Amino acid sequence: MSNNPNSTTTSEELVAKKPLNSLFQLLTSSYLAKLSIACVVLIMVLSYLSPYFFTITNFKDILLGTAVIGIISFGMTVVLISDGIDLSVGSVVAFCSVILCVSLNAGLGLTISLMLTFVGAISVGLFNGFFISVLKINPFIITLGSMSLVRGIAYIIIGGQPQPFESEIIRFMGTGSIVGIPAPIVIMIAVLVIIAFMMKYTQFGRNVYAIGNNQETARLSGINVVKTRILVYCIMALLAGIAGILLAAQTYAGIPAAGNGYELDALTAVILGGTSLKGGEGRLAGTLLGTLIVALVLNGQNMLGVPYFYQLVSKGLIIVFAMTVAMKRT
Amino acid sequence: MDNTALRINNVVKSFDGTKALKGISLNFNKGEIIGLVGSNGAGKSTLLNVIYGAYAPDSGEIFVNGEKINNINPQKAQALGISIIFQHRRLMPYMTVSENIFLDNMPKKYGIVDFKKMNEDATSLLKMLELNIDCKALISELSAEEKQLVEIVKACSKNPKILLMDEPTTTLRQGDVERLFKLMNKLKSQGCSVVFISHRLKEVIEICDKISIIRDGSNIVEGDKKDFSADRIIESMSGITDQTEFEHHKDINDSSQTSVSDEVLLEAKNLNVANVKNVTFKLHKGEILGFAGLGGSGVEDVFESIYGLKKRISGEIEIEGKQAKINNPINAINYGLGFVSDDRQSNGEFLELSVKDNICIPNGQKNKVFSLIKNNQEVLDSRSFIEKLNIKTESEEKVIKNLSGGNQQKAIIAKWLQLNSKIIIMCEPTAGIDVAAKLDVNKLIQEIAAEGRGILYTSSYITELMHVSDRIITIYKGEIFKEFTRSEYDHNDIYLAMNGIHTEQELGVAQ
Repeated sequence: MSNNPNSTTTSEELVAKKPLNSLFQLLTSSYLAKLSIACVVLIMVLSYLSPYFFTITNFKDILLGTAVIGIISFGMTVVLISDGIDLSVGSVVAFCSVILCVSLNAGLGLTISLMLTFVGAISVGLFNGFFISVLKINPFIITLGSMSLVRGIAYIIIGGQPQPFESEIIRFMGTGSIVGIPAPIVIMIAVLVIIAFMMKYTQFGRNVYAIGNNQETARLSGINVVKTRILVYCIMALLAGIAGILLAAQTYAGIPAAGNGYELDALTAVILGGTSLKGGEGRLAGTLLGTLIVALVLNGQNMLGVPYFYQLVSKGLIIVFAMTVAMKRT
Repeated sequence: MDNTALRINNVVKSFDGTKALKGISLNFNKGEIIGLVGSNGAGKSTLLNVIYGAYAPDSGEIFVNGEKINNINPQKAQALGISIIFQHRRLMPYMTVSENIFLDNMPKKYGIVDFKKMNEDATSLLKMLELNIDCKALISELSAEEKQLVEIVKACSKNPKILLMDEPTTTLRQGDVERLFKLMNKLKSQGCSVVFISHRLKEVIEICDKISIIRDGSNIVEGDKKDFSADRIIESMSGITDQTEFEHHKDINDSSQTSVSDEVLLEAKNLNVANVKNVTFKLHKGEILGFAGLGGSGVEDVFESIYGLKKRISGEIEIEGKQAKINNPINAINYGLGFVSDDRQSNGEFLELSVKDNICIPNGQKNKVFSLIKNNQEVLDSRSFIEKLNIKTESEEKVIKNLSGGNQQKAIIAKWLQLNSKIIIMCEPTAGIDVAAKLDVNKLIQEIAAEGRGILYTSSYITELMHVSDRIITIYKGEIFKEFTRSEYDHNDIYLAMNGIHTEQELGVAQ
């Protein structure tokens, strides 16, 4: 073709092509843009496949479904950026829903019950942080241990079975809405804004990126690595605690079996969102998109009547896909 | 038949565009011990790795017993009877001594490993070297010297025809070195050719039959030991170009000499660290105090213990006359210290972060954990350092890994300037950057010292050390051996002092 003199591109053609080209480049240049496109394509395909998909009620459902896992994923993003991992988050969700339920039922009042719940969450964070940061034990192993440990304590506290509880305000958190937006979504967005701000504009956020990037340089540069890493696990546990309160608010019960497998769901969303497993890299906007994509895929399958067991398979495939993409990107 | 065991012809090898070997040609005869001598980065280790087939050469030929070997790899090399002792040990820490010795050819009986025979064979090999190491002990339980000795036994267990040894004596004690030499002589009498790399001149002169000197990836001289005096070796190693480079910048030295004041910034008293004995010195305001020592001499241990990276066994550090309690880098920074390491990538910089963040992170630690980053101030600060230190980057937001090595190093120095450190410890600050950038960085170091800071400096290049430092302390086996003031500077004397030798006569080499 290049031998044909008639096929040479004129300057007019080049100019005409350029805007399209640059739009295409913009959309494919950054990983976040690619994720956004994937999100839109997914919505289009699912709308075509199912008449019930593209409705306001369904979108509300999807977002409501992402609130709990989204809050955990934001925390997990921070943990992964610090070059760590936290597998105990699902258990912390159950633990906190149980503490809230039991203390409310014991008549301690809302304020004290919430405070106890946060104390519970932060003690798990301190426990993880102490072993990981001070004793320098592999975070995977430590949080695998605390995953079982915390779950066990949740069962011991509540005695095995879920228990209902009553609280107007908690109920509102789970099912109420603020100017037409469901409260859990408002809470999730608030958490997102706070964590994103913290990571971008505070000394702490930059230290987390620095530690994830190169822990030894961080130490030699005078960053208090031990303290920062403990704080990372405390923030993670605190967010898992908020997620636990939200879950209890949506179900009106303290459920010791709640949150099973949430660590995997959160990791899927975070890795799909472009956060590096090697640390030092990652953005909360990506995690939000990752959470949305996972929720869309699962919701779409519900809409299409795909049996649960097949959904498990597809979730697994998303993780494998996300990991492969993550490895190829770097 | 020809007596040549190994011949390499015009071997070239580059890493990321930098030529480590620029066409080396060497001949090794059977039954000969050849000393391969050269300063750091001359290409000695690279050459051994190419011969062993661990690195593929870009071009050039390798002949073993007169036969040309194409595409050599470690398996082929072993089959040809080439054994290597790497500079950095490659033993499996959680396997036993005998398992490590016979890692790739464990004796078998009915298809399973015959542990009894393996342990017996290992014991007899260890006995041959008169070593008292339990062959059933795990490598991780052994001391550094014992590990090195096991490495030597392992290399010899294969009855090598060509034995390559990359600084085998660095971690050894005197007695063990003598036993190693005995073993080398035995191998030599069996017709094995032994290639021996050491920075210790004494050893090379004692054991080797022939000496080959390489510099900047090319071979400079080779010949029988009797043709070499210590002076000639040192001169060939450092090279004429190196000398002229130094001469060229002598004027800078002379002008910066005046900045040293009598005021003591830092005083180390009887510092004892692992590998370091009773090191005492004073660092003055405006002074660049150079430390010279061979690998493993303890210079780095001294530096790291002052910065709180290595635990001090005893001894005191005084900063501006007051006793300083430094147990970690945060303490050190609070006392006004800064640290530039020899390995930028592994502990000097945040590769994926911006120039601005790399410069401003230490200073930001003064604020509360969750306080906001003072972005405007940081942008102004980093811009002024980019300008002042002439860091070549389009913007302070550029990710630091996209800068050249010299500019990355300047940004690392800038972070201590932003923090206003009074004392900066510099461990090989010019490692891994090109010659022009080296001069630039060294000039910068002299300038920041002249502003009233104190610099502890070390470099493995003596010419560079002489060029930059106002005073040089040589460390030999963890102790201060000799101090040189600028007027006493002599390249060869300093090199001899690093080797623990006062005068050349001690070497016992006829001129």
